[in-house]
Amino acid sequence: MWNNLKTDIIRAIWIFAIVAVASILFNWIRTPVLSALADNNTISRASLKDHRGVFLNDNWSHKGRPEQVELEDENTGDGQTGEAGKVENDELEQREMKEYLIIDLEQTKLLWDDGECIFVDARSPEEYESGHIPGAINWPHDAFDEYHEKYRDIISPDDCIVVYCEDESCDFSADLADSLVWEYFQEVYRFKNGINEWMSAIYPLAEGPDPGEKPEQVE
Amino acid sequence: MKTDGTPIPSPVYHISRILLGLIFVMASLDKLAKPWMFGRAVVAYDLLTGPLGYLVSPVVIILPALELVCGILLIINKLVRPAALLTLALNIFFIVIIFSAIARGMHVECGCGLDKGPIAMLAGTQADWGAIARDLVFVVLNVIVLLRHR
Repeated sequence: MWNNLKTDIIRAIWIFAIVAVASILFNWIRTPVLSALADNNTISRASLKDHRGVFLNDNWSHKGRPEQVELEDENTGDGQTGEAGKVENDELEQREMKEYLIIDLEQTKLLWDDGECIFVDARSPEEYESGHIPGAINWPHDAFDEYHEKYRDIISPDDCIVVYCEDESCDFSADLADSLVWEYFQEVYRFKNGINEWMSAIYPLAEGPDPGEKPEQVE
Repeated sequence: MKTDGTPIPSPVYHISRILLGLIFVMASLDKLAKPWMFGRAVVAYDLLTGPLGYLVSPVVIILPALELVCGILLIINKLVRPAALLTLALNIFFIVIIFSAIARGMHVECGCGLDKGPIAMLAGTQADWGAIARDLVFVVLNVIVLLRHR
């Protein structure tokens, strides 16, 4: 019995070692191919992001949890809302990738009142229709390319974008925010606690497939 | 009923083995399709911080592949015991990780790769007691496979 167990453990270690080496080798070959495809615009940069786990020399420790920031006046005030429209690829390549910033309810409300940022709901169309922040458009995180094309003429990488989903445990908004960052969007905020905290603060909601109108003044 | 001197009847063993294999294959497919999301889930547990952040990529690369290979070995009935030892180790590892998240009062996505389908409906998609209960059921399946297959 114990001899068998010893043999099985050695076999298990072998399986582990072979799988580890094979998967790392596979990714090592795949990474430059994917990067080349993204450079040729064969695949979008955002879809390249979906394979970013393959970059072995990446330190992930800072990813997904940028420090919560104090919004400065320039972000809430005149903003940097650029003209919507297509930005050419060579223009994009001169840009830097900027990590998105996490904001809380109060900061989200400030940006919403200010009206300079485009609010984006990263959930599914069904969830969006059941209730969303008034004025927010729907951009399901798992259909990034499709909606990127759809919104190409109304959203520019220079626009200020606020993404949200359900609550803090929901990572749809993190995924979408990352995709936007990888498409060189310059000012992306993630409302971490999402629609649930918005609703518990009894702020207005819009229902249905349309973004809905923002009320004049909400305290 | 033939038991080969073990307390586990043959049909129970085969059902457990195939079920466990299918669960591991299903869990791996989602992670393989969306490595970035899986990486995010790993990061959210807040265990691989600072220089340990370099370990996230190897985890994202190796773990789903290991789950897939072990799942396939269990289903095709080859190298069952080594594969079951690995899945048992993985299950215990997942339980410890999820428990650590609960103990630290964290509300994070499980990142288990079983976010759709009947298993998610039963145990949810959060790293909570439901996820631990689900993993304990997998441990039982694992023990059945290991006990029967000497």
